[in-house]
Amino acid sequence: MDERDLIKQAQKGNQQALSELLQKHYAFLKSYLLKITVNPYLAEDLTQETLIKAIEKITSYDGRSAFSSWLITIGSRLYIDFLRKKDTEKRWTEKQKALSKMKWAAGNLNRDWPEFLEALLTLSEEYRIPLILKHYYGYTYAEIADILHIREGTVKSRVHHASNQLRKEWLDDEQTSG
Amino acid sequence: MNKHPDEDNDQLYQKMREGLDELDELFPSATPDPAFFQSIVSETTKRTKKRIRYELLAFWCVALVVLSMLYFIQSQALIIYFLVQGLSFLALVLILAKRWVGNHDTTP
Repeated sequence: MDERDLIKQAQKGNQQALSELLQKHYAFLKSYLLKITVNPYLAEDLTQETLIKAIEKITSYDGRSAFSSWLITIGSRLYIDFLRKKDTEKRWTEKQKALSKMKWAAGNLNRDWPEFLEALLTLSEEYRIPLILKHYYGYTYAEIADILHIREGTVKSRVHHASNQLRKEWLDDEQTSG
Repeated sequence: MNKHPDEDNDQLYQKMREGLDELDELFPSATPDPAFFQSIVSETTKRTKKRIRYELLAFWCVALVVLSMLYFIQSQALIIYFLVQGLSFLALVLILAKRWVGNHDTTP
């Protein structure tokens, strides 16, 4: 069964088709959430929540965007909601905790921690997510606006601001290290 | 000689892509087996159906209470019945008018 058939069957209530569909997109979704959160533990929880939301809302998927884009729209909005519920200090503490755990995990695997990610983490989520969607995934400004439910002009200005900020952080890091 | 800003940005985005790919390699997103998906779909569907049934039941209960109250007032106190109907209509007009004004308000 191809993806379009799976979606049709899933919307008619075929649980097997829905399971197959979610299984097919699981790795993409989790990897996306890992990139925007830079926190594997949070990405895991959000992936689970996204799957549940997708199961509940499968009949409202209208096929205007790819199924994977629909999933990352749900995931992004859940992440934004999650951030809204937490105060800044708590978010910062959790970010630092996750960062040390990840560095430790990288060390255990005898791998270097990609230092550039620290520069990326200095960007707040409202700037980081559009930047990743644009320059990692290659979505258009209009598609990003749709995913994040904000205006296209806002997306453009956030991506622009994020690039400038990231460049500044990167150059500062390079000067410090070298 | 200074680099062209576009070239600088290309390098920056390349660096970002590499960093994110490394993150992916450090924490790979392994797909669970099919049983996991079947179980999550089945559980969520059951829960959703239960919630919908509960909400529908609550809706019918409230509707029944409102209708029986209206029937009682209509048969026992006709003036109060018309007063409730009139006030409800007035409230509806006010809500719609307020919403219309809100939608046409162009001030930032």
